[in-house]
Amino acid sequence: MRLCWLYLRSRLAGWAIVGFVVISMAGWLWVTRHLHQPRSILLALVTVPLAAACVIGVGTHSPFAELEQTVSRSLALPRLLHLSSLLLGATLILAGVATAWPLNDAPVVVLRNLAGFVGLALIGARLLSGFLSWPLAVTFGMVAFVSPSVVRAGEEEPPRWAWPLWGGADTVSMIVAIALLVIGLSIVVPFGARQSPGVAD
Amino acid sequence: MSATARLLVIEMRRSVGIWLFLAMVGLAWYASRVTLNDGIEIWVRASGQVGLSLVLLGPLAGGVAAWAAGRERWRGLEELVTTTPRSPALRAIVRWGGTTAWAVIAYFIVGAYVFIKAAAGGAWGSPSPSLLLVGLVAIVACAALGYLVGTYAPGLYAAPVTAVMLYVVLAPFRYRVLAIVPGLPRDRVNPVEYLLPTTFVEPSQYNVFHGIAPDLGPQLLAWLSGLTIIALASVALRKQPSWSAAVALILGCGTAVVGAVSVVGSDFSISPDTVRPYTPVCEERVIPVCVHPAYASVLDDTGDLIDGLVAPLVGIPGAPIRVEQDGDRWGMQPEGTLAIAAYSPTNGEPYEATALARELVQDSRALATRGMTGELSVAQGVVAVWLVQQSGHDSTRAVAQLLSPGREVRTATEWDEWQAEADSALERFSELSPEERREWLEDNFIALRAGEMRLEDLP
Repeated sequence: MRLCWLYLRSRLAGWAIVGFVVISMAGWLWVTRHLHQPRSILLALVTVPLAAACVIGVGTHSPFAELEQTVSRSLALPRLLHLSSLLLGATLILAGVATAWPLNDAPVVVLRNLAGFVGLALIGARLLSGFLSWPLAVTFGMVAFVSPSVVRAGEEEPPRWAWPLWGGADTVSMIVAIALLVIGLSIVVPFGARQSPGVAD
Repeated sequence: MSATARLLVIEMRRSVGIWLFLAMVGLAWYASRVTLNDGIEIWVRASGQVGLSLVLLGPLAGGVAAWAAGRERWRGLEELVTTTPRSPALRAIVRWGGTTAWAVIAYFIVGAYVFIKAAAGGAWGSPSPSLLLVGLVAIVACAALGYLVGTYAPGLYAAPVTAVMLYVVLAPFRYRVLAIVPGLPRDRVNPVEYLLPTTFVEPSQYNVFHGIAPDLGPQLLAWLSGLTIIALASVALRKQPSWSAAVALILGCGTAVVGAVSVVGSDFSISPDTVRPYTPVCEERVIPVCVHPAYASVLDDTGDLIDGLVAPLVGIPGAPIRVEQDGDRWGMQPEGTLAIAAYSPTNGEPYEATALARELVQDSRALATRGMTGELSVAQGVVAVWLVQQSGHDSTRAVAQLLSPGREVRTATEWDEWQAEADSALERFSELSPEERREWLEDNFIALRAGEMRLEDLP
């Protein structure tokens, strides 16, 4: 347990929770100011979980990466505990704020997007590094948000691949998001985040 | 090669921008497509498409720059680099340059692609340096602002927060672009929104008639350059306080203020006098059809559309005697000219036929001057749908958009009753002989366009 506690402290898990609170408050303020603008609310549904996912992804960076590679115990359990606790904290905080938004399925959409973006951030952490886990998730989130503008005049549905924009009842989007989360966890929990781009672990 | 240039090359080679370069190019390319246009290649719109890549490329460049600002700290090299002879401020600026260079290269690559595509499509007009430069300098400014954040707040979350915040600032506002239309009162335009470069570069607001009006390029360049100088001077002051950095900061503030004030104080109203002169290209169809020379490639399609819809109305009082694409006017004009937008390959025939049928059966211009809405009466809707059907176009869209009850319908039963009445009226009108229909139109078309006919007045 002490190992896990030290692990959480080294990854600044406490600051991550503070970050979730700040992000949720910012999202709540934004939605409150733009109650009658669907596009602005959609931006919050994408951006708030995206920001939280970036916080989680960046938290996979290890300040003692080289040293940890020499330890005799596997760090998979501490990593799993770390990521699970952050996910749980983000879920509770974001869902709590999203229930106040003027959309029936806002909590479902926010949590689904959180799962998917966390998965992308974890994949980015393994590909580039913990510090650079955010470009993959942020890039995808930005591209998805502007995607409806690429469609022809008169077509309002977002493209199929832009799962963050679909409603909470859409099964395919939910499956994709959960799959991304599972893939991300499967990669990072056993092996950890890459130290630096171009540096083999 | 000078030492600074060598340092720049080293920074570019060691920059994380290399790893994200393909993502930058992809984002810039994708963002250049996120605009609606009518399918006609125009150089000013192509320039705007290139500039619009800043919507996605700018935030990524800002986030990467924020990360690069803290790179020495993450890698524990701060003490080591302080032993190097170069000034810390210059090192920091060069590191920023090495990171930003990749975003600039991505911008140029996408720009070349868009321009080659436009040239191959026979784009009309000439490229707009304003739109291209504003997009480029905006990306540089985003990177500078990100570097500033990373320098003063080199925390774990600086980079992603910078990227997300830049995106939140830049992206949504382009959806609130106010099209500058002739005669639009200046107090309906929010000049402050034009401080955001995305508002200016949005290509869908530009057309061949007015070009870029007003051209805010020089003012926005001053504003964005000022922001860049402020950011870099602040970084230099943080690394190594000096008088030159302080002077640069003051100059940057002055430039930014001058640019911002001149943007906000610009004259956003345009009038028919600002239409750029041109000689229309015309074809003789059932009535003459004229379009702007940039749209010559769709003159045939426009003519086909007019033939199909206007043929039954030729010679009828109130029907158009000429059709002309116009940048300032819309709908039937007093002299009998129907002012329209040319056929758009992007929109397709059903969309265009529905829009044109609406203008034929309703005097929208007269309604607009009386401050009234453009919803068709049931009688107008029936005749409009018939026009679309008899022209051979798919009428599904026309039925959905042109037929409406014209009264409050509260229950499904009332809706079904109204639908049955409209279908019956449409069927009766369609089954009239051409002579009977023409006779009715000759007697009633003007009243129909004025909205004076009810469903029961139809034959």
